[in-house]
Amino acid sequence: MLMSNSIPDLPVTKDPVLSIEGLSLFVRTDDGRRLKIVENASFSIGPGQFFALVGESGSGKTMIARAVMRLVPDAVLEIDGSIRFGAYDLAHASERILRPLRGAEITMIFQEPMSSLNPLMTVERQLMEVIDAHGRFKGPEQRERIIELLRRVRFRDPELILRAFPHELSGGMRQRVMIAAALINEPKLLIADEPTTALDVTIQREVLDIIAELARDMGLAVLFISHDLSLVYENADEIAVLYGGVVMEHGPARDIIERPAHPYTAALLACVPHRRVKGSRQAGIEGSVPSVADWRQGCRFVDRCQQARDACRSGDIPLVVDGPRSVRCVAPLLLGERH
Amino acid sequence: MARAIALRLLGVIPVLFLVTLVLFVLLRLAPGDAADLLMPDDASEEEVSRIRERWGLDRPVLEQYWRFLLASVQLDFGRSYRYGEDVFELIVNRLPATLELALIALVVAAVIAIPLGTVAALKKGTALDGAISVFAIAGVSTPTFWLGIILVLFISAEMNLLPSAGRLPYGVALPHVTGVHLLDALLAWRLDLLGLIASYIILPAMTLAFGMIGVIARITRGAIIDVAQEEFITTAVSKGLARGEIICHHLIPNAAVPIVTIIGLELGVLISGSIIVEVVFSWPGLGTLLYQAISVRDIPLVTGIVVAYTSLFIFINVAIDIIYFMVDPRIRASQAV
Ligand SMILES: Nc1ncnc2c1ncn2[C@@H]1O[C@H](COP(=O)(O)OP(=O)(O)OP(=O)(O)O)[C@@H](O)[C@H]1O
Ligand code: SF4
Ligand SMILES: [Mg+2]
Repeated sequence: MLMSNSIPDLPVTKDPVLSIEGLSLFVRTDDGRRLKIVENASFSIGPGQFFALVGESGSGKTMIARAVMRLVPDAVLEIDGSIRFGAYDLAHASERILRPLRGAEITMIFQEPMSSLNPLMTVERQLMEVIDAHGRFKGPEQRERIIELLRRVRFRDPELILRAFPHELSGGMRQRVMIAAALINEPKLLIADEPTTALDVTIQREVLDIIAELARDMGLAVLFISHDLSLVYENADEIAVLYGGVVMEHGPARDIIERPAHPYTAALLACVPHRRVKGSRQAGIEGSVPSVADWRQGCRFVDRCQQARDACRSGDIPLVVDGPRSVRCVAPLLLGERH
Repeated sequence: MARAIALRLLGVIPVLFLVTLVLFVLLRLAPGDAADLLMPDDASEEEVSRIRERWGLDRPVLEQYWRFLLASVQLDFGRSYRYGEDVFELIVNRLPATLELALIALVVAAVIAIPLGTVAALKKGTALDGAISVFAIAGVSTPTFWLGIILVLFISAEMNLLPSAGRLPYGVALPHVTGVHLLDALLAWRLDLLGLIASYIILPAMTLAFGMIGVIARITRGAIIDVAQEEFITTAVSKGLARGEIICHHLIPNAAVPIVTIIGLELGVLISGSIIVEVVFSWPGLGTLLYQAISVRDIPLVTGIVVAYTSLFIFINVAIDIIYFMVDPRIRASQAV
């Protein structure tokens, strides 16, 4: 089989940490409209797995991340389908169930380190409050734990950082503080929503390395969100490619990078600089992501797809499944050739 | 920080200079002078002009002003025409009553308005938000004197629940230490008097507070709504913090700077309001003194009191700057020269 050589690399996914099934998301706007922003997404993340959710701006990545933690008020975001985490379906869990999970079992780091820390509180208080909220560490253990985490996110002088206010730290330092806060209670799942996008290129790699290294050491499941395939493909075990609210392709990272099956994934990879074939155009994909207000029948990618044909414009596009891989396309590139 | 505060305090000088100059010219432009007003009707022209001479009223305005400036730097504002006493002493004696009333009104307003505004923000768009909004508008648009008179009529006169005039009944002796009655009662350990003192403060303080509650509540609501959209609030939620903790540790402190700013801007309202309230409730503070001084055109006293109010205004503004420093480390950093 085409993909068989990669299957032994896959982490065991029998008992996933997070399992999303048939997830559709709807936003209610101020003017009373109900917009579909994600349609029928399914994927799961096993323990210790680094799962990359990749897509262009506006494709719905942040909304999926926030839906998992239920960070958007119910009045704004309507969730259809299920988000299983252990014994719970987070899509329909009450605050009483969600609160002890947040910050302890499931944690999150955000895109903007400049605004994701409280400007009026020292780093110490911001780390202490998340320890205090869950009671996993008590008394002198708490401080030790904080110092340990600050060391592990590579601060040489944790005591100094503890006393600092956010405005005294650089973006990379703040993001490392956020990582420390996210990992302090030994969660099972870390959601990282473009944690490096706002950082200098030189620091991006370091922050990503820290996340990958700690996740490996702690056996943590990571849902890593990025618009940049080239950033994640070295670290990711699995990749899901999101386009206009639809998961277009999903499977083991190496397979997808080496043999993209969806025209969109292929186009994305063609934009990755060092993978570009000599002489091919530098430009990204032409056109832009379809608006959330504009759901038509057929494939969301049709206006930008070079393989587009009549079948792409009507009905539901079938999901082609092959072993660990799945593609939503009527004419998948490599997989399709075998049919 | 000390430098910034010192600079602000130095800024008092030109402001006081201007305020007194304007006041001086205005008071003397008005027809008739203190001598006309204060001397008995049957006083002879000579007697009146002798008094004028003694008080320096026959001199050119600018010369009078110059003399006033020279004396006032030594805190000598002259003698009150009406009371014959030293103006500075009169002011110092009355100031504690004014401070006590204004501070309590401010605290009452803040304690009521900040939670109201917070609730309105958290329940944005609900009936409760609407009700608070109506209450706030009522507060802003009710004239202070009208509310004061209504309260005196109904709560004091009609229902006889609370006293309506003065700070204490006749015959109650309170050792004078600071002049702030609640404080003096505590210092003398006369806890039995606290309730009595409070009963005199409640009505004027509520009257004064009512107008401020509306403004502070509305600003609080806006500030909390803004802060609630900040990413660090999402962080706080994602940490699994309790709702109350998020409100008290993240929302309100970050909304504090705009709220405190508004309280600072409301000082003018507080001070002018306190003059009206003092007069309505016969509260023996600077406001009633000013009222009496103006009605007999007691120029040294009026001038002295206006200087006192102006200084007070500026000092409180400096105090607000200090609060900024305490609340926001970024402001601390930017001012640490
Ligand atoms: N309140 C809202 N009203 C209308 N549309 C919304 C609202 N919130 C989000 N959307 C839409 O939902 C879609 C998904 O947004 P989301 O923030 O999840 O995208 P994203 O993939 O995270 O993009 P980015 O890379 O820019 O962060 C976007 O097209 C956005 O316009
Ligand atoms: S379904 Fe059609 S339009 Fe969509 S990606 Fe496949 S070939 Fe392109
Ligand atoms: Mg996003």
